[in-house]
Amino acid sequence: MNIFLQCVINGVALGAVYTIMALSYTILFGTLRIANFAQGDIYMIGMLLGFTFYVTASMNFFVGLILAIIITVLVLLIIDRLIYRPILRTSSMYLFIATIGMATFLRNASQLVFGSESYSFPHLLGSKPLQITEEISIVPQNLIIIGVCIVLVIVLFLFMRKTKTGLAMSAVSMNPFAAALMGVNYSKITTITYAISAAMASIAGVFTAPMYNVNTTVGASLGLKALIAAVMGGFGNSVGAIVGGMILGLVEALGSTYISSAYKDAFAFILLLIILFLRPQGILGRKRITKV
Amino acid sequence: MSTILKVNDLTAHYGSINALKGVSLEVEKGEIVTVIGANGAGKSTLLKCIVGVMNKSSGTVEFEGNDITRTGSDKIVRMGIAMVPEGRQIFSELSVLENLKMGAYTRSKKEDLTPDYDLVFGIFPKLKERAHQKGGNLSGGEQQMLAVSRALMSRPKLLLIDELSMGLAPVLVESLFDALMDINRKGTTIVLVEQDANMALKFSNRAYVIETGIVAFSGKSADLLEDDRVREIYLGG
Ligand SMILES: Nc1ncnc2c1ncn2[C@@H]1O[C@H](COP(=O)(O)OP(=O)(O)OP(=O)(O)O)[C@@H](O)[C@H]1O
Ligand SMILES: [Mg+2]
Repeated sequence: MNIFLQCVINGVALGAVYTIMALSYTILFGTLRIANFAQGDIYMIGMLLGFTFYVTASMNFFVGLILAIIITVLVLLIIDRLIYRPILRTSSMYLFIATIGMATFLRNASQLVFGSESYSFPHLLGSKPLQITEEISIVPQNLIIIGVCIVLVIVLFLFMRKTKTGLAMSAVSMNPFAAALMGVNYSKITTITYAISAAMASIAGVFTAPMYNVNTTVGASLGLKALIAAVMGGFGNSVGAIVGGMILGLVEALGSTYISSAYKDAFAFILLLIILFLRPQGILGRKRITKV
Repeated sequence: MSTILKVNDLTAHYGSINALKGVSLEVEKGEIVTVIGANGAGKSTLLKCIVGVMNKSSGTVEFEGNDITRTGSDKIVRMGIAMVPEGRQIFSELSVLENLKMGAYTRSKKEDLTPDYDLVFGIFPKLKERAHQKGGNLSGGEQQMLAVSRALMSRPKLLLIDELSMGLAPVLVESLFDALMDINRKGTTIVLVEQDANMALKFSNRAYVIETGIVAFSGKSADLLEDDRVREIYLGG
């Protein structure tokens, strides 16, 4: 029982990371129908920038965090303007391929900037696990990650439900033509959506840095798994991203304890296959019904 | 009277398809002008060009004396043109109220929308009962009411309506036309594209007949109702 509860705690912490990243994918896909395969590398850039400001330049953590967010957002906005948008004007199939190429490009370009070593990022509140009971504990950093995830989810949902811009994003996702007729500027909504997506990925990057070897490859597998979580939950559906992220985190944590940790990375794919077999539109995805 | 809309020798293409081949049209402030024509004549294309969601190949569009030929739709809506698109195009997952809120997107955040809700709910009481229902769950007629109401929320000076009567029961069409007359009396100029030429000519001041991308003829609606060519082609003899 204790082992099980410990797994659940670790799974929720892992799920929190997947959730933030899955949301960063899904907000882009839901609003603009763009699957940005470079999202994991945006996360990596956020993490390395956080490391550069907080550790290398010894800045205050929050100043470093905000700088990392701003620069990461700018990077994705520049990519959108210079590469994604011009390509999207030709075909969305090309864009799909371009985002895959962008992932590789960002990884290599980051090596030039940050070097190819692995760094370690100090735990923000120390690495000594907090004992919940004698046998169950949680690393303070994981507690922070779960807290950050909860705050981000609340802020995102309030933004989407309560602000005019959030409503316009929903409108664009449902019917971009009608949204244009309401006077919504598609280009502006695109920029805001990319900015939110990059901000979420960079926040995840900085807060999870102490749990990983900080290097330029750190985003590749995490990005892919978060994408799987988003697709599992129903790509484009925010609640689905949370459900998918949490399920994936829990399955990985439980599976690597009870089945084998050697297959840890395979669980995501197996889970994806099972879920898409049973529900092709994802757990909370809607079937696309074209009304005439 | 002053001219609110002036379209001059407008052409537009979908790829290699030439949908408008030089359309000119003028609308006076306060008028109801109808555009009739067969399927594929270019009526919807004309409205899309006016509101700025479609690129024009040549020609000009002027709104209240300003050239808006190359202006983006977000700015054009702000200037005072709204459109009720063909096929309603309701935001299906948003509630009726949220759809209306989107209609008021270009208005300032501080503005109180209560008088506008009162206005549209006054015209369409059915919508008030459905205020919290998802747009996609409304009936076709209710969606059309919502599409008209949503367009009114921006307080347009010029309202473009594409196929008001499409797929609606005759009683409902009558009451929608009455609602339009009401909206027009309150000061909104209306350009109405219609399949139901009979109805449209009865309710409008002037009419343009479009055939394959050009204006075939135009004139006072009352005269066109009596015109033999119009009667033969569009009014069933
Ligand atoms: N999205 C599109 N892509 C390519 N061709 C189009 C498109 N929309 C319209 N067309 C073509 O442009 C021409 C004009 O179409 P338009 O929709 O303006 O006609 P319409 O007069 O509104 O017809 P209807 O009464 O059937 O609504 C038609 O020949 C049509 O086939
Ligand atoms: Mg049409």
